[in-house]
Amino acid sequence: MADLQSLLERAAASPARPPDVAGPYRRRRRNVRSGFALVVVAAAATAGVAITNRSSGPDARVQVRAPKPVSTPKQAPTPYRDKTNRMSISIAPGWQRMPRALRPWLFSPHEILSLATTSLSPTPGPGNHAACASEIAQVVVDRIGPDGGYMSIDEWRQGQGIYTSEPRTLRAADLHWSALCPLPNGMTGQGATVHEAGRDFTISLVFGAHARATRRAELYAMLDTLHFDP
Amino acid sequence: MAAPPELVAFCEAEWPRLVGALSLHTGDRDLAEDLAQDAIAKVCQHWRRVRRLDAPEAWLHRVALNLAHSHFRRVGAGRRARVRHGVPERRVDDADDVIAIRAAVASLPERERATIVLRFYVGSSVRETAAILGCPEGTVKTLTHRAIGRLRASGLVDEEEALDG
Repeated sequence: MADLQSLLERAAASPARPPDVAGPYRRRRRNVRSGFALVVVAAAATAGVAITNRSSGPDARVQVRAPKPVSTPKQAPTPYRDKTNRMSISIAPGWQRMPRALRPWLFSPHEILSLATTSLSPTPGPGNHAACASEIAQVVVDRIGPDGGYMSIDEWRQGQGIYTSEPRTLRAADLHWSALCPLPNGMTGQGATVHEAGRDFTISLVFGAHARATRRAELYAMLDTLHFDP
Repeated sequence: MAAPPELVAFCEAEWPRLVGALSLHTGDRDLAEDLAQDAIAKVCQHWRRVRRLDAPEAWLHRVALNLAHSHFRRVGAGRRARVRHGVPERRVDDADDVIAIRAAVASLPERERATIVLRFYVGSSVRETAAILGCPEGTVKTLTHRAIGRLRASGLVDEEEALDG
């Protein structure tokens, strides 16, 4: 009987097509350019000039006036530190931390933090109360509402979370997000795996069917404040 | 602007091994090619950083395994079970023993499968495998030992495989 190496050599499939390198490289460059263009457009838009035609007479002039600063009181994020799970995060206004794990049936990964735009409690009773194979709690699907959002951070037990993300520090926009299992009522979910401080985590996000874009921005901003200690 | 020649050369050199490893890991050549292409896209996206790494090919395999894991997670446990325990796809030129090998590898738990593919198909050392999988070297040895035990039980392997190095 042949050795394992030669057996695997025989069983492995040969590619039927060559890799496409030019396409992704071109798209990457285009994305960089689009990003730059977006920044320019956004800068122009936020410069915000108000054009006022103040007179209808022969000396009519167009006056360009800078907009008055609008002073809206902003709530500050709430810092949260969890000594047991050796992590910290700043929780955005409008979000709340669940005092208890919503998915107590999980072992590895196990839930160490849940944030949502509404207060949630775990479904009472033993057993698995997940809404789908991605282990999103049924209570999340039932309760967060069409404009709501939810985030969970699950930690893998030591040595079990081997599928870490590409080597990087935790920045939400850089994570490889993939869609979670289909959720009802037009809700969407996405998940990513992260390796940080020698520990492995799975992060899951869920958005209501009509969640504003700011929900995602709030979540990403919170994730960027997330810090794990070794 | 065309892709840098060193990027093209790197991708073309790694492509066959990458597709082969993913085909063993997923049990599906078409899916393996799709995932490998996604991994190549990641390399293109991060090429300026990847090219400076000591082992860019390890980075590529790590990304590819992450993508495979994300895929399994996305399609859910049911599909995963079918992939693991169902009959692997058969192509017209596949011999029976090749089918048997694929079935035996596909029946391994995901972590053991990844370890076996990296160690014995990609040719990574224990240390490299540990770096790719993000786990201690001892875990790699344990996973390798367990996987070989399962393959031996299935009648596929009947000799001692080197577990170190």
